Amino acid sequence: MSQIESKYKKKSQVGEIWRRLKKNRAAMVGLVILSIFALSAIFADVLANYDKMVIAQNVRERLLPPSSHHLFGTDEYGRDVFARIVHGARVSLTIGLSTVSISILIGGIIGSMAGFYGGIIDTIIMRIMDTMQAIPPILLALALVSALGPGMTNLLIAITVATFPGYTRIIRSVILPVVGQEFVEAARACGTGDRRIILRHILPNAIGPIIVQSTMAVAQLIIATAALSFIGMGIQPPKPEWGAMLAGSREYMRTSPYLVIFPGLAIVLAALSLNLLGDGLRDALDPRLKN
Amino acid sequence: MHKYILKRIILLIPIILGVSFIVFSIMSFTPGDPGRLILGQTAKQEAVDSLNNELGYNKPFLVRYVNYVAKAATGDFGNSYRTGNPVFKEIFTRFPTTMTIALLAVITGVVLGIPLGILSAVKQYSTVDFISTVAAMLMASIPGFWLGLMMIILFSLKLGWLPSNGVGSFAHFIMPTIILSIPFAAQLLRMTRTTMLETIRQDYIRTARAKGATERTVIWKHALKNALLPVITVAGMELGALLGGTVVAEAVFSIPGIGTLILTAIRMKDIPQVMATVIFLASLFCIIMMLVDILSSFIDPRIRARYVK
Repeated sequence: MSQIESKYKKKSQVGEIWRRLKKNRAAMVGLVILSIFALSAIFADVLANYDKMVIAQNVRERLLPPSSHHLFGTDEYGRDVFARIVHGARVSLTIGLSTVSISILIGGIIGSMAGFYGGIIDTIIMRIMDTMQAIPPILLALALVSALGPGMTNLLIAITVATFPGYTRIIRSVILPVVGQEFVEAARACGTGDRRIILRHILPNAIGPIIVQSTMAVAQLIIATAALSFIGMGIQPPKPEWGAMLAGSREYMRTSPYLVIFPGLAIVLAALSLNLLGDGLRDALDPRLKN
Repeated sequence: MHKYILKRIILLIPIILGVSFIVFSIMSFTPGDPGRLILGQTAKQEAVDSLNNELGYNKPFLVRYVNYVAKAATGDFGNSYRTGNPVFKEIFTRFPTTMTIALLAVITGVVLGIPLGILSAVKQYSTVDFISTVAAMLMASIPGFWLGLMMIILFSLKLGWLPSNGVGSFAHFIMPTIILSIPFAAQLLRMTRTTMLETIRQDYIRTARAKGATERTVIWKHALKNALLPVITVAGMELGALLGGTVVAEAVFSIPGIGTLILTAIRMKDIPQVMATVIFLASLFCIIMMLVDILSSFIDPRIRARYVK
């Protein structure tokens, strides 16, 4: 009996997806690199003492090239670049993940309402989203940061405001084709409340596209955060952030190019790993490839 | 068809109004006041206060907003708090530079991305495909401003081939264009590849081949036209996005364009300048999207049918 059971044991859907993902070597590389960054972010304090290495200035040791003592060298204030990059991972990943999560939440609620109730509610909501998206997103975030003031929380708010209209559209576009179908009517006839219909029957279809979109979005957000910090409208010094580090490196480009190379490489690797993973997830989640 | 175009143009108005409201609200929350800004840090408080009163700064929010819209409707967008010049004079001084870079970037992206995308699709799983896909992935992960910095290190400092800042000659435009076009080219490459792959699998392609058409005709005449449609939409969106997004490229290469104009204006709470510039950019964006839609409907008769009821 157990022999038959083990032979026909039903494979879970998630297990299936994971199996497909494992076959994609590029995606696996992305996953490994991402894990390294994530672990660095979580264990940053273990890898490099915050106060001593990241913040404290040490003028005697400024602008040292990479060595065994300072893996990536020191910056213009004598701070260890490797330590700053490790702690910078914490900043970038936190902002990326938080922004995406909140955007999914807000976009999910608003997008569901727009798609589900349709009619004038849909029109109003989408017009507002259109208006918000007509403003170039970088400028919108810039203006918000300027109004709210510098700092990580305000940056988060600013970027989230610029990001959630996109998610509203995605969720709405997933809900729209499903809403007219008969099983929704049937559920209503049974007396199921609206919220339950949306949550249990409709939204599960959206999980796939949302996950794929989100990995790419976090990559874009990491780059965007770095860009904003680069022009001085993001994370403020002395907090370590890869973009801000690049801004400080400009003066010393000629003599200490490693100050430009390493933070930049961190951004590229983080974004690349997320993009690879997202691409692999998209292929793994595609039901057309089921064999 | 003309009715549709007219409807789209009329729709612009509420969107622009909405944009103006959003930006005005955000700017109102920014600390600082125009009186202090215009007169400077050392001016007496009474002078600052009286100037603020004159400019109507102390009136409630809605009153100020309605006044702004009323004046703007007549064409008066005010003068920049920072320079005292009419806001649109500032915009039009810098607009050609930014527009040139944006256009060049889009064209470069198209020239780079689409042919490679087609090649990848046609020779799927070959070496070319693999390299292109990896390259596209990489290009989408590199932050533009970092690429700019690295290029300056290589091409300006070490090799001395290209100028590192300002504008003046064509050479000045090369590096900014490259860093702006690369993420776009990556996106186009992947999109072209995907749509081409889907298109090639369609039955009508098989029919064309069965009828004996050469592979070249099949690709160029049939597959390409269909694959190009979403590409045009994305190209239009990118042009619009770039108009505002050159901020970072301009920061890296010290280019006096619209991006720096807005950045300075936002930082200094130069409300008239910010309002006018953002409204200008948003309107441009909407117009570009409208043109893209119209172009799409010309290319794809199915879309045209939907709009010409």
